[in-house]
Amino acid sequence: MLRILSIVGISAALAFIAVFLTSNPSTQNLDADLATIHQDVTEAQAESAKYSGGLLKSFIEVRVEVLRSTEAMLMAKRAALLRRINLVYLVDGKHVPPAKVSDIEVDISDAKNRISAAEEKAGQYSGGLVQMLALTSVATERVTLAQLYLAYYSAKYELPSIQTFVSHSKAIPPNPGTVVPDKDAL
Amino acid sequence: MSNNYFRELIAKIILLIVVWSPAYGAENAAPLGLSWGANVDEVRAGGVDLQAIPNKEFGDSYLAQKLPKALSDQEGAIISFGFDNRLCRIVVISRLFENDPQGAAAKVRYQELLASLTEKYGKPRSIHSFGESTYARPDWFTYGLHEGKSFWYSDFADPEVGVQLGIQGELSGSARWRIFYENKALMRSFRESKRLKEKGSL
Repeated sequence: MLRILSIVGISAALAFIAVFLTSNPSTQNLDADLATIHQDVTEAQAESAKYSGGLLKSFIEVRVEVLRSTEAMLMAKRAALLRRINLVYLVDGKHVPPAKVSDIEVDISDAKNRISAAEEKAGQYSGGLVQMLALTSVATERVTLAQLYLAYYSAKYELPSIQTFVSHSKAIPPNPGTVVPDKDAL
Repeated sequence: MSNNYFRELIAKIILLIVVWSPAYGAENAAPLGLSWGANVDEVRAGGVDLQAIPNKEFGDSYLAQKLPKALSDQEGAIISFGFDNRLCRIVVISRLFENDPQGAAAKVRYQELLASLTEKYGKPRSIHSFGESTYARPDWFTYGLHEGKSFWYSDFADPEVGVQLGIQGELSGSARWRIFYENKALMRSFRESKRLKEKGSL
């Protein structure tokens, strides 16, 4: 009887280790990423609160929503891990392969460099149209970075790929209006 | 029917004729297909996309896109409505002429615009000067503009509209042209209301 109980106990311990300690990724990793994203959301919301309306605020709000999507996605993954639910995503009956994490890391690094350059440029002005355009550029690049983070965590945790979404998420080109000869516009 | 009724009717007809006449439209015609004195709703009704900006130096101001008319190398336009919701100021700015520390491309475009504006607003008073010492070097042109050591602009003395065409430099060795338009009568009204507003808040 004692032998049977020992076997059952060892089996239970092995099962526990297999289920909870070898999960990849770990909930610790997820918690750390969730904390990072939560911090980003808080910062973006604080930035948004500085503006009462306008183009810049709309860009920041887009960023907030993208970051919230990432946060919600990671929370869903965390809940799935804890409850041992296997998440499988199908689009039109086909498995969606995740984007390469290393590729997205390069894109994230590029986006951060572009943000630094845009911030430096905006810092050269104390106001006016050029600063407005430079700040808009900063806000646009930050939206791109938020989208890249969404893609990054999707790839890292093998969640639905948004590769197509990211590849089309370039800065919105300005549309000044109907181009006419100089004399007509002036 | 009384004489007063006919007088009112005639006055209304005259007013309608004046408002609908081409001369009235031309009088209020502003650059980029806009109209001086138009309010925000009227501008939006013309299909213009307006995004409010935080800077209130000239009252309620907006980044305007999808304008009825635009210049080929225009990147943006900021239009201001003062405190009484009447279009009184327009700033047009070009795309960035990159990697051009001597400002060669920007100067060529400046000359083209100068010619067109001169045709419309008469001969301007131009200031084209380089700064001293290092700023006098041609390859420091955009840097000199950025630092406020060199100047490149032209003021037009139109009685109705104040116009200034200029080049502004950036640290990166790039430049843009920009044009300021101010409706003199509406700007006078704006400055007066701004003065009263500031006086009231002190």
